[in-house]
Amino acid sequence: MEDKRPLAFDDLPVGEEYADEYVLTPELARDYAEGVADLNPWYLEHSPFGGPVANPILIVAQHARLFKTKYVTAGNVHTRHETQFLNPARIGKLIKVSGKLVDKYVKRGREYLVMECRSVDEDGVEICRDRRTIIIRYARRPE
Amino acid sequence: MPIAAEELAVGQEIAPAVKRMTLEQMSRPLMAGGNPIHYDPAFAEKAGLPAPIATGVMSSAFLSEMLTNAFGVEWIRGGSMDVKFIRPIYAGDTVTARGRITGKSETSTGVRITLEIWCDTQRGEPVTVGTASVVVH
Repeated sequence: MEDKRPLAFDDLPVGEEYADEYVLTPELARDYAEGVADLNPWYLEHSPFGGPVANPILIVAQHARLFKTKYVTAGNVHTRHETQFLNPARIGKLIKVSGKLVDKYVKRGREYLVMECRSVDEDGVEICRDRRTIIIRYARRPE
Repeated sequence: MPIAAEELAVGQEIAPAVKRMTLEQMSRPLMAGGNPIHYDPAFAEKAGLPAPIATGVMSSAFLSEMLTNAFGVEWIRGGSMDVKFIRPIYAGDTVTARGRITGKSETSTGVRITLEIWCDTQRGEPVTVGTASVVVH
């Protein structure tokens, strides 16, 4: 198993790709629903799509796991996301997540990373596309 | 019930979603993702913050809840949002997700509604700002 390295701005190659997967279990859906206090029955019991589906932001939030497939992360802060929701994510499906580091820059002393991500279910149904920006740490980089 | 396109007008605000942020919510493993900046006061202080901050995406969830209430299945199957997290949200904050319609145009599949969306707190300042778009059939 490859050892994970600390997330270091200067060492990160733009173009690096990431992949992960997880099962969208009812327990995960409930945990998220309780965490954001949104107990819409669509996410827990039934929906107009024919069964329970995930809160769409749960799928976006799971994109944060991509950096963790290669790096030890702590203290990063999400600053922006541009997201298209394409299809509902059905509870019980395996969700495959992929992403690519498309840009990095320093602005006002903070180190920014931009990643493009997508989530697709086990049947090949695309759930969402997302472009997310994070700063590696809140504290500013020394001059 | 989702709002019908003919009931929507530019300048109109949709029904807000009001939420109380708690440290219990912020520190759940699924929310915090193991990142101590969301639950550890000592780590937050070392990072230059007065207290742990909520993940920005929690405010996205509040905005999405508001948009799901307004637009139903069309939001989940075709909505889009672009949001920036511009100020921290702390435990104890009351966060209100709001949206105002900025455009309405016919497309081949329905009526595209564009909105300015934001979250503010009891301090009276926006913490999350952005735009959203959804086609209502």
